[in-house]
Amino acid sequence: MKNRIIILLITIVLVSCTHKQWTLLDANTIAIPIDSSTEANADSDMKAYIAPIKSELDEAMNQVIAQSVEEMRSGKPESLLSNWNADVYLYQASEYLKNQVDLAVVNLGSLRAPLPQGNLTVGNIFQLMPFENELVILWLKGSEVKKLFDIFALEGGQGIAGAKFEIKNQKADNCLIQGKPIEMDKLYTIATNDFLASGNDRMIPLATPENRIDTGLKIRNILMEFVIKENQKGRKIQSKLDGRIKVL
Amino acid sequence: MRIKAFFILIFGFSVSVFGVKTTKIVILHTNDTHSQVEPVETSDLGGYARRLGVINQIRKKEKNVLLFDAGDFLQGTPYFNFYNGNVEAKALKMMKYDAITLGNHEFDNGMDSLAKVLKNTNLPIIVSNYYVENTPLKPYVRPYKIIKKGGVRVGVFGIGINLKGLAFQKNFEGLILLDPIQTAINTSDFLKNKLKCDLVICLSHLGVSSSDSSPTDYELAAQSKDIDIIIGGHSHKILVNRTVQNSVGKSVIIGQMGKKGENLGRIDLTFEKH
Repeated sequence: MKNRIIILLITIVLVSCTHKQWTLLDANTIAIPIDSSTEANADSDMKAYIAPIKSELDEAMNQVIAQSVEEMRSGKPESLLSNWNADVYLYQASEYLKNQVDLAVVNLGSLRAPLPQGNLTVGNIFQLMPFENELVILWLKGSEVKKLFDIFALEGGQGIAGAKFEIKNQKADNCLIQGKPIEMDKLYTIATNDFLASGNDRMIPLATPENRIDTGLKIRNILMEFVIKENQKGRKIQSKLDGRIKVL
Repeated sequence: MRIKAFFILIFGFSVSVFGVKTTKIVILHTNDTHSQVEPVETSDLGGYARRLGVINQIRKKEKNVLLFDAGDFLQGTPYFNFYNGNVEAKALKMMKYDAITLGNHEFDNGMDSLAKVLKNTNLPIIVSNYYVENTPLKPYVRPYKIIKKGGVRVGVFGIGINLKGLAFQKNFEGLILLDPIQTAINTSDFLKNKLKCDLVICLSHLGVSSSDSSPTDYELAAQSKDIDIIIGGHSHKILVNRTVQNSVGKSVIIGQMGKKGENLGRIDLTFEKH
């Protein structure tokens, strides 16, 4: 009998325990700005950990790798920076294929910082291209390339190389590729990055190529390599506005 | 002897019935800190040393503090490009994060590289809907974690975004994505009802923008029934005091803290038990 009572009580206690969960009564959320007023209490161990890494990194980033003739900025319809980037895509893709690639396409949105006049540093190239995107070569019919140019015309310009067109009534007109009028049935090779090759930034025709090669070369590395090689050849980095996209 | 045991039981029983207790937990959270080791140059906001300073001040004042990150702690500054994520991971360890989920940018250098970083630092990485058994991440990723704070049982799990289109295919080859919402429903049910957690927290990198090929935190909250709080990320938005009704009419708190560690999220929770 006594045993039974104890078992009963244990059961009651256990049951009451399972009901003893905490219930959430109230919640309040805020955002604490980590602004300069928090500097005074910044953690000293963390500072000590970061300081030597920062100075090593700064040294690497501040290394001068070439000289540029003038400041290069991006803009529409064409610009020094977008022309230069597209030229480098075209050059490096042609080197990779060991064959002249017909044209190159770069989105203005991927050019994250201008290049300054004078000293060009490793850091400048990182600021220009902080992403890990890679160089891709696509094969597209002339008719698809024309669609792409029409999209660029509607946007008022993009970064291109190896090609030329005029924007007339928001359409691409007088399209030339490697100096010759575009042929709708001809297959053209296009150097671009994997972001655009997925059809991003409204470049839908790039997503359905006849053929595609992923080079595995990072865009940042091909830019860096190009700049260093030009410097070794004693040449300054320069670009020009050559009327590759003209607004009529 | 029997009598004594009898009275102890009665005493315990009466306390459990008549005593009303309250307790407090403070949750601190970040997301999309993107390798921002130093303060952001343009805004002079953020920076690891400042963040840890603020966290430590709160830890001094409050007894029960939890610290979470909702992913994308890597990529965004040359620190990542030069040191492959080791600097960021070591710093997060120094800050004593309780749980961290993976964002898409954690895959930017591939899984071999990420596995090395996680091996070096032993970060508490929690993801429930990435099946990683056949990947190098296997030893370093857990589906959930139970933390006891101030007597409260807190269950934490993580939900990752569909990596397709957000990371190179070769960088997550072999990782199997499980349905985010179904996994979240099952895991939260398991934590709350099987493992008897008082509080269930989902660290999510799904984001709140419907343009991605994954459901949003809002959809996740609405379809769930056992999640109390979603600590979100990916969309770089600041969400404060945002709630969504779940499938049984209870409100789910959704928090997100912008980007680059410019802000630290703080959620003050009060609990009671009768």
